[in-house]
Amino acid sequence: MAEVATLELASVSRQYGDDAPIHALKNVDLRVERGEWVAIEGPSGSGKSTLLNILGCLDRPTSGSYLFKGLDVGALGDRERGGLRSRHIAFVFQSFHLLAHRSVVENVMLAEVYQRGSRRERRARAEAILDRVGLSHRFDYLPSKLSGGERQRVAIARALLGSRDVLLCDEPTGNLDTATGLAIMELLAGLHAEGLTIVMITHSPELAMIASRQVRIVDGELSDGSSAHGLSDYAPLEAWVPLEAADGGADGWPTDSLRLVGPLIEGTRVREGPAHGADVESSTGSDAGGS
Amino acid sequence: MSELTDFDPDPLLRVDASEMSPVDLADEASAGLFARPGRTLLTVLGTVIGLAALVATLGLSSTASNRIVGRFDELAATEIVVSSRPTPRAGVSNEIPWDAAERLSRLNGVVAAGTLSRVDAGNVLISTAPVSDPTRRTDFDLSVQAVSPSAFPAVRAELSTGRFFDEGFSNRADRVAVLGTSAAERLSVVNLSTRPAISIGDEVFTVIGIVSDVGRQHDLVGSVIIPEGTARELYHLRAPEIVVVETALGANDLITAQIPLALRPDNDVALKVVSPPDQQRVRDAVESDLNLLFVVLGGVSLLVGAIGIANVTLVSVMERTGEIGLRRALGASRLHIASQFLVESSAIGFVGGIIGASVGVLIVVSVAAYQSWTPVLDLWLAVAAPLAGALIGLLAGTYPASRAAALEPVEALRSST
Repeated sequence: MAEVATLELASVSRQYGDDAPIHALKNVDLRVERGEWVAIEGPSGSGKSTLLNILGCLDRPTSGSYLFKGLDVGALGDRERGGLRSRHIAFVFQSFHLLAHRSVVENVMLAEVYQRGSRRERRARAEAILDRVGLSHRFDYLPSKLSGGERQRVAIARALLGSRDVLLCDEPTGNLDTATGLAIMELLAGLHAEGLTIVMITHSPELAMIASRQVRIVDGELSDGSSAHGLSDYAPLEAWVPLEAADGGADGWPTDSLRLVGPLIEGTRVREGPAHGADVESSTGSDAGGS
Repeated sequence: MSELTDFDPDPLLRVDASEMSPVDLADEASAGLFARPGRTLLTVLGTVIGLAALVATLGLSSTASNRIVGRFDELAATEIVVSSRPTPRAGVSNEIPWDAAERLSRLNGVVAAGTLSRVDAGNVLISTAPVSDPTRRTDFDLSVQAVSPSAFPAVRAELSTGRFFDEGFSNRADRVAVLGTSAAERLSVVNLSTRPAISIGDEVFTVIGIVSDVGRQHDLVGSVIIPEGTARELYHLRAPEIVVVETALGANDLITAQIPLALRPDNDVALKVVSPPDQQRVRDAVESDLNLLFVVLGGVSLLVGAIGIANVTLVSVMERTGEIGLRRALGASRLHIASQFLVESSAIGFVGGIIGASVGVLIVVSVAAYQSWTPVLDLWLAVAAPLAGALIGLLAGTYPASRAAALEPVEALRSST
């Protein structure tokens, strides 16, 4: 059965300026299937952020079409696009984008502010999701009191609240140290294993390898990631788990969080199995099929 | 599968517009305001000063003009002067009856009424000393006025020493006199304990009182005032010349209409009743001059307050660019972003209006209390000031809010939170 792709770009171009236009994207075709984890990898200025912004309905393509779960979003008005972002698309940013003066739980609740609904239920959902990302002890903290990894967990919790269809990550580990970043990747892997469609941009080919599929973008043109780098060029995920992080200590919470994340990514155990990348893919496939 | 893991349920057939409940809007706006309480307070202060100035100036102007109006009323608006018409109709006299004051005092709305007459004592001078002092002048040409005892309150005479004469003096035609203060000065009468006497021609009068001031009929200050009964007997006064009536505030028109009937029911054209010219227009002119000045002052302060709100909101929009980007990413439409900033700026104006109105009322009451004035303040100011504040905040927030709404989410997100 030909399933409708979650995201489908056809011949999408984006140019900035009219005089001496800059072509940020050139005839990009991209199809992201339901339950996929696609890493868009490329150097700075290659157009990957532009691509993510178009996928997130934050920007409109100059030409080409974009279907979100079969719906042509080019025809939607400002408020419909807002509704789409509010209910279907989640973002995780490199710089977290948490509101400094709001508590952790309020930051997460912000995700449902642009959907009508009872505040009490919203808070209950936010607390449940925070609990799930291992921050049940931080509900009323201000973001400034949290470590970088915890902040990104808050951001991921916020992304998960309200928007269930696709998670767009913009360098989610860019501001984090290796161990913390890896824990975040594990969290994403767990969510992916449960069926969440993820599109992640990164300039790091190593991180891109954790995803189930890689595409590479250079000068606004998309190519299959495997053509640029062989899969075997990169070590599997387990190689990126420093033992001290797994044992705890690096960021104050890894011991707990890894233990928490562990059950989420069953079948993708970081220190088990010979070829972890393959493991992620296989588990994804089975989960996506089962959901 | 639990709700949390229920990702990507169905293909999308239609998409609902993003929406924000009023509660959430108020919540987000208040969170925005309380995020920087110090700055919010300072911004509120601008509106507070503006609206306090406006309320205070409006209040003070109405208090002040009420005081001016009060003085007008006191002096003139309650006064009626009745005189007889000069040309009598054939066979009918136009005279004022002797009991005119008594009749009028029975009218509801008359505070006091008294008759006054200029006395023609013959071409005589008035002196204090029975013996002529060759070194200085002792004889003066002063006017003599005969008044009924009830005329003293009617003209608001104030005694500096001694007493007024009463009905007894008048009925007995006693030779007593009350001097106006400048008459007393000229006649060198100061101390009444020696029972000084003055002579009007050949008639000698005992001075029993000195009037320091009068509110009406100012020529009394320079006159020798004798009882009406005395004047009737000595100088054959035929009828009172005028009746001075003080009415209660607002009763003037009514009493003016009743006087001819009360005094001359037989001849309604015999008397000339003069009530003061309508003070309303004078008062209006004074009030509007004052109001205009004060309103302009208050308006300028308010404009400064509005610019303050606009400025701070604009700075806030620029500072919160990252937040705006995030909100757009979370589903906010341009309208939602604009609404939030408008609610924030309106709330600043509204709170400023409440505090400003309170401060303004306090100023009016304090100044009035200090000056012993009656504070006069329109009640609607207390309601209108917060609304005006909110409106000003709304207007001041329009430009910043439109800037915020116009931000491209991509650009906004690029700036870090």
